[in-house]
Amino acid sequence: MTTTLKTILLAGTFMGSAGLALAQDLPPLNSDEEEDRIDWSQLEAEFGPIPAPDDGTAVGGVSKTLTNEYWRSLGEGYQNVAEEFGVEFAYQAAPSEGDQLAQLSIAENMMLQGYDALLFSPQTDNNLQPALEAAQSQSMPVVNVNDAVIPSVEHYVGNVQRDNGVRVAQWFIDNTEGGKVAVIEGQPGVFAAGQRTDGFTTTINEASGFEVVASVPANWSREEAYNSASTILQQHPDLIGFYANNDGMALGVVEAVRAADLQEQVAVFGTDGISDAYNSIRAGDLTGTVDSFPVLTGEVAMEVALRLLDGQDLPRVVATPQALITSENIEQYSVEDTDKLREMLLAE
Amino acid sequence: MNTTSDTKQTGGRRSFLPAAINLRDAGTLLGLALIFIVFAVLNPVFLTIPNLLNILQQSSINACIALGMTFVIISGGIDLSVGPAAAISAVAGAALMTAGVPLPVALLGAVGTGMLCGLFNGCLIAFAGLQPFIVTLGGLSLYRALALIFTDGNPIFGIPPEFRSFINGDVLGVPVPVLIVGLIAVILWVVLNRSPFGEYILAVGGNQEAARIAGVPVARTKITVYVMSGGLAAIAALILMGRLGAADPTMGNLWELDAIAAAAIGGASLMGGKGSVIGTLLGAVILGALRNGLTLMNVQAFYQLLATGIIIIVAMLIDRATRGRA
Amino acid sequence: MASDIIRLAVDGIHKGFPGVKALEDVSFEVRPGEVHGLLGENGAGKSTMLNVLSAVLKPDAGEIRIDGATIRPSSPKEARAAGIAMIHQELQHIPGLSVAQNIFLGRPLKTAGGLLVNRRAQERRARELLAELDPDIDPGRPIHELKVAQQQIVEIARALLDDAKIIAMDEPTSSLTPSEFDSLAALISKLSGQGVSIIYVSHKMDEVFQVCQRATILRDGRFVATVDLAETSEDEVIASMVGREISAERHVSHAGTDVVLRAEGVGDGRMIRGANFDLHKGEVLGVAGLVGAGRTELMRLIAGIDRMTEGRVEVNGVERRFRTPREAISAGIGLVPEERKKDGIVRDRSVASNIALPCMKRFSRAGLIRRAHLRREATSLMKQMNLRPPNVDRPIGQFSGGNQQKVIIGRWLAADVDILLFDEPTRGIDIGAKSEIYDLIERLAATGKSIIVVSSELPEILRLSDRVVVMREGEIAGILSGDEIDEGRIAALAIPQSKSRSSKQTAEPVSQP
Repeated sequence: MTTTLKTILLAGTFMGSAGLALAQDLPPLNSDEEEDRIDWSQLEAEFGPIPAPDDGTAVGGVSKTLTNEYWRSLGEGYQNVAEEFGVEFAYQAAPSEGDQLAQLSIAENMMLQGYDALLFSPQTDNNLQPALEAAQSQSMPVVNVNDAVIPSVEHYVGNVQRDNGVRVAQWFIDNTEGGKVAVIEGQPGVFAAGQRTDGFTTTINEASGFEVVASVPANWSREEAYNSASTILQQHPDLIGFYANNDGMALGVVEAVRAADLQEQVAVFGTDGISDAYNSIRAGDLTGTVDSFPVLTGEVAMEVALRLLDGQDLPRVVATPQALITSENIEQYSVEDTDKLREMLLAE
Repeated sequence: MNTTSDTKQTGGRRSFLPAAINLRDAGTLLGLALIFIVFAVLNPVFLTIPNLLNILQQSSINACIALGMTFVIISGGIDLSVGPAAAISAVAGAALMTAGVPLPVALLGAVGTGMLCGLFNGCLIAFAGLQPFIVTLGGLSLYRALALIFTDGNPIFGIPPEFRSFINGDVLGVPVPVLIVGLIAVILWVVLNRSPFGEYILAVGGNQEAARIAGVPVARTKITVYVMSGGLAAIAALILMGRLGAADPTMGNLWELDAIAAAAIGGASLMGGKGSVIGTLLGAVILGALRNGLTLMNVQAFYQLLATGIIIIVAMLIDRATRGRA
Repeated sequence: MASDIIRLAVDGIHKGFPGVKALEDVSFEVRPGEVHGLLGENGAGKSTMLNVLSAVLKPDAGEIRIDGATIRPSSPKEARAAGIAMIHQELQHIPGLSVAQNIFLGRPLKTAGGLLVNRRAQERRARELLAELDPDIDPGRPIHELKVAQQQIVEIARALLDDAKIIAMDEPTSSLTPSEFDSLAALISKLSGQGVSIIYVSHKMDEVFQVCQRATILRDGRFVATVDLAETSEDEVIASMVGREISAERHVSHAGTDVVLRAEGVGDGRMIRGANFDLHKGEVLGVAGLVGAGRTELMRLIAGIDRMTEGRVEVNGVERRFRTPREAISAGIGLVPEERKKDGIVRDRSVASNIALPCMKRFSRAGLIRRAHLRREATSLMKQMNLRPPNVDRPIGQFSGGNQQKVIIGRWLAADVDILLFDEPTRGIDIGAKSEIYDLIERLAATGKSIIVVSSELPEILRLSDRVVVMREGEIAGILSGDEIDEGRIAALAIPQSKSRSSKQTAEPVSQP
C-alpha cells in the first residue's frame, strides 16, 4: 500500500489541475502512420535490457472487456512481465465492450489508487480522455495498448492496424484468381476497424479482378456478423471471400458460410488469433487469421511501461508483430511459450 | 354507544403516515451509508475527499439522466431513448461548436436537440396514444441511427478548449459537473414538490383517468416530462463531451438501464405515481460508489455487475417490505 | 329448517392490522339452512370477517367451528374443503373459458388416463348442477357472455360442487336489477331448504329483511348484536349499525328560474341520442333509469370527458364545446364520478393534493404552490364536511369511501364550480356518511350551486330531486317535476316499451311496487 497520504496528494493535484492540463502540444496520433516509431524487436538493441523497477512499483491495466479472449491474453502478457520484475499489477475491464462510462470510471478509480503507470485499451477513440489528461497532469506514464487510439496519447504499443488488412488482401491476390469479396467491420468510428478495413479494401482494389461487394459493420459481435454474412451470401452466392475485423466476427461468418454450404468456395479471414480461431483453422473451417500475438503484445507493453518509468525517452509508437496464420503455418505458430515465439518472430 | 371516541382513536394512531414519503428516502440513505461503511473499512482510499468527489463526479452523468427518467417514470412512462438522445445532442452540439457558432448558441442547440427528441416521443405517446416503452424503444434506434448517419460513425473532435476547461474545472474543489447536476436537482426538487406541474405529474402517474377528470392537462404533462428527459440527456451529453473532448455517436450506450436502476433504487415505482428527486440522486451515488469501491478493491467487472444486480433487487425487496400492504 | 343445532360457530375472533384493530372479539352462530345477515357500515369489519372465514386472513385469536369441530384452514382452498364457500362481490371467473371450465377450475374431471381434462364429463356435470339453479345457462358458453346475475349463479354452482355447507355472499346484489334480485332470493331460499347456510352481506336493508332470518351487526370491528329480523325494525338495525339515529326528512327546493345549463339534442353517436334538458340555478335534478340506460354516459359528455358528436350545450346562455374535462371545469362544471377508485381519487396523494388538482392556480403564487395556504384552506373545507380523521396530509387512499367522496366534492367546492354532477354519489358508502352527503348536496343547492344527481336508488332520487330526468336506452324518456315524482311513474318511464328493440341493457323491467 503506497499510503493514503500519497494518494490524497496525488488526487488533490489531479482535481486542482484537471482544468489546466488540457492543451497538449503533441499532434493527434495516427498509430499506423506516426513517424516517431520503433519496431518491438529493436527495443533491446536501442535502449538496452529492461531496467529493474524500483521496489513497490505498481502498474494498472484497464482493458476493454474480459468477455473477449484477446483482452484476457493481453492481460496475461502484462502479468508475465510484472511477475518477472516483481511489479504489483492489477487488471480491470468494463463489464461489456460498449460500456464506455464504466471503463472511464474504472480508469479514474485506478488512478486514485496510486499506480505508477497505466496501460489502457480504450473502448473508443475518446472515452478515456479525462483519465489520460489526469495522468498527464501528474506526469504518470500512460501507454495506449492496441485498438482504439486516443489522439493525444503520448505512448502507443500495438500492431500496424492497416497492415492487418493488407496481409489478408495479399493472400487473396496470391491465392485466388479474383472475384467478389466482402468485409465485416468492427464498431464504426473505432480507429482499428477503420484502418484494417481500409488496408484490405485499398490493397485488393489495386489488384485487378477483385470487387468488394459489401462492407458492413457488425460491432465486433459474432451474432451480428453471422446475420450480415448470411444476407451477403444470399445476395452474392458467387462470393469468394470474407475479411472480418476480428476473430469473433469471423467465426460468426464461418457459421453463415457453413449454413449456406459454401465452405469450398468462400475463404474466411479473421483478426487477433484467439484460440477458437486456431481451432477453427485446424478444423478446416476458418481459412486464416492475422494473429497479433496478444500475450506478446502485453509483454511488450509492460516492458515499455517499465522503460518509461525508468525515464527512457522512447519513440511514440512501439509496433508489435503480427502474422497471417493459415493451415499451412499454424503448427509453427502454435507455441505456448512466448520466449520461443519471440525467437521465431525475431528470426523472420 | 360511543362510536366517536373509537374513530378518534384510529385517526390519531394513523396520523404519522405522511412522514412515510420521506421514510423511503431515509431508507435509501441508510443503504448508501451501509455501502460507504463497508468500503471504508475494507479500503483506506475509499473515504478520502478526493475519492468521494471522484464518486460524485462519476455519478453525475447517470444522476442527470436518472432525474429526467424519474420524472418520466413518475408520470407512468419510461424513456428508453435517453442514450441515443444524448448522442445526437452531443453530435449536434459538437458540430455547431466546430462550425464556429458562438458557444452559448451551440449549447442551446444541443439541449434543443435533446428536447426535440423528447417532444417527438411525448407527442407520439400523448396524442397517438402509443405505449411509452415501444415509442422510446423506437427512439432508441432512431436517434442512434441519426447520430451515426450524421457523423458517418466517426467521433467529432475539436471541442473548444474553453468549454472543456469549464466542464473540467472546479469550484472550491467541487467538480463543475457535480455542481451542474446539483443545481438541476435543486430545481427539479422544487418543480416536483412545490409546483403545480409536479402535482400534475404525480397525479397523472398515480391515476391518469382520475387526473384527467379532475382537470389535469394530461397530454401537456406527459409531453413535458419527455421533453425534460430529452433535455437532461442533452445536458449529460454536454458534460461528457466536455470531459472526453469529443462527441461520439456511440455515446450513451446502456444509459437508460443505469438511469432506471438509479430511479428504482431511489424509490420510483415503474407503475407510476411515485418517485423522489433525492432518492434518485442517492440511487445514482449508490451505483457510483459501488463501482468505485469494487474497483478500488480490484474486484473484476463481472462481479461488479453481480453486485449492481443484487443491490437493485435488494432495494426492491426492502421497498416491498416497508410499503407493506397499504 | 332453522333448528337449534349450530352449523357454524365463530368464537371470539380477533384480527389486527398494523395500527388498526379490524376485529375485536367477534362471535356469532349460524344454524343449518339459515340465511344469516352480516351487517355494518363500511369499515365495521364485515369484509375482514368474510376473509377470516374463507381463510384469506388468519385470525390473531379465536376459533371457527363447523358442526362442533374446530377448523383451522390455512388457505381458501382448505376453507372450501371444510365446507365454507365464498362468493365475492367482484366475481372471480376467468373470461374466455366456458361456464363448465370455470366451475371445474382447479379441480378438473380427468379422462380415464388421468392426463387430460374430460370436457364432456364436465359439461354433463355442470348441466346437472345448473339445472336446479338456472336451466337457461348453457355450460358450454363462454362465461363472459352471461349476465352478471347468471355469472353469480355459476359461482354458486361452483360452491355446490364442493358440497359447501356454508356459502358467504359479499354484496351479491350490487350489480343486479330488482328482478334479478328476486330470482336470487328465490334461489337462496331453495338452497336454505336443502340445508345450506348462507351468510349474506349487504348494505340494502330491504333485501336483508326479505332474505335473512337473523343478522349479526358489527360496528368498528366489534360485535354489537345478533338479532332476529322478524322481531326487529329496519330503523333499529340501522341505529345499532351506526350508533345513532339517522334523519330522513324530505328535500326543500332552492331552485331558481335562471337556466345555468341547457342540453339540446346531445349525443355521442353511439349510445346517447337527442338529450334535451335544462338545469336551473340552485336546482337538484335527479337522473333515474335502469343500469345501462346511458346516465353515466350523458354525464361524461356534459363534463367533457367523452366527446360529444351531436347537439349543443349552453352554460349560462353561452354555447360551449368541451374537448377536455379541463375546459368543462373552467366553464364551471365538475363531475363526482361513480367509480371513485378508477375515476376519482389519486390514491397515493394527500387529501390536500387531491383537492387542489383542478385549481392549482388558486393555490399557487409565482408558479409555486403555497403549501401552507393550501393546507389551511383544505383543512377548513374538510372540517366543514366532517372529514374523519381530519388530516389533509394523509394519502386519500387510506380513507373510507365516504370520506373519499367528501374530498372529491370538496375538490369542486375549492375549484368553485357552479354546476356539480354527482354520479351515484352514495355507492359503496355506509349509511352514516350517506346522510352526510345528502345534507351536503342540499346545503350546496341552498347556496346556489346547481346539481345533477344520477342514482340507481329510487329513495335517493326521491329524497333529493326537485325534478327527475328518466333515461331509457340512451334517450331521455321523460322529465318529472313536483307531484309527478313517484316511484311508479319513474319505473314506467324507465322500462323499455318494446322487447324487439335491440339494446345493450343488462337490466330487465323493474318490479312494480
